Amino acid sequence: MKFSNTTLSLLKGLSHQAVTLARQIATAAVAATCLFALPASAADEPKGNVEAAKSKVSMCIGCHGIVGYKASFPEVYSVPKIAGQNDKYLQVALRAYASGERTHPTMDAIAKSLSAQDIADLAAYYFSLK
Amino acid sequence: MKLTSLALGSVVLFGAVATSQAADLAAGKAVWEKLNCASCHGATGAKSIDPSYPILAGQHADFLVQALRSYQRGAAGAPASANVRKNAVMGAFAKQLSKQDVDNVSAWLAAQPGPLAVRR
Repeated sequence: MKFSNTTLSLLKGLSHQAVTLARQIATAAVAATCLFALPASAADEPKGNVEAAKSKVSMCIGCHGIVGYKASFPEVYSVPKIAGQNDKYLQVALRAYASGERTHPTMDAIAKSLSAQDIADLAAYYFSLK
Repeated sequence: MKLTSLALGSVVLFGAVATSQAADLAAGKAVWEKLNCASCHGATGAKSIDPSYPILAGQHADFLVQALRSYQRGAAGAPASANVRKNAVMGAFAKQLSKQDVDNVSAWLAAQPGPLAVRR
C-alpha cells in the first residue's frame, strides 16, 4: 500500500482526533458514573415512615401544632409552619440543628435527640400533612 | 376648625399607612427578583426547584424575618449562642439585605399562596 504524504498526515490527524474523542468519552463516562453514584448513596439513608412518626411527634406538636404559637428566642416570633414543607428540607434543617450549623436552644436539643430514622420519619410525616 | 384638621389629619394618616403597606409588598417582590431567589425557591416560593430547599410562600412573615436575620448573624460570625444559621449560599444573600429589605421580602412571601399549614 502506498499513500501520499498528504493522505498519511491526514490519517495521523484523524487517529489523533479519535484518541482525543475516546479520552473525552471515557472522562464523561467516569463523570456520569459519579453522578449516578450519588443517588445510590442517598438511597442508603433511612426511608421515612409516616405511620412510625405518629409516635414521635409529641415534641413537635407542642409548638408547631398550635395555631399562633410563638417562640421567644432571641425575639418573639411565630414558630414556622412545617406541615406541607418539603420532606428533604425538613431533614436538612433538623440535621443542621444537630450539627450546630443552625443554632436555637430548643431545636438543637430536640434535633440531637433524634436518630437518622426519626428524622426521616418526621420529615415524611410533616410533608404528608398537605 | 379643629375637627376639620383632625379629620384631615386622619385621612392623611390612613393614606400614608395604606401606601406604605402596599409599597412594602412591592418592595419585597423587588428584593425577591433582584436576588433571583426564584432560581432555587421557585417563582413565588411555593414550589422549590429541589426538595432540599424550603417552601417559603405562606410562611409566617415574622419567622422568615427571623430566619434571614439568623443567616445574617451566621455570615457575620456571631457566636452559636446568638441563634445563627451558617449557610454559604443563604449567608451571602442575606448579608446584602437591609433591615427594611428583610421585612419587605418576608411580608411579600407570607402573602403568597402555598401549601404550608399549622397542623399536627
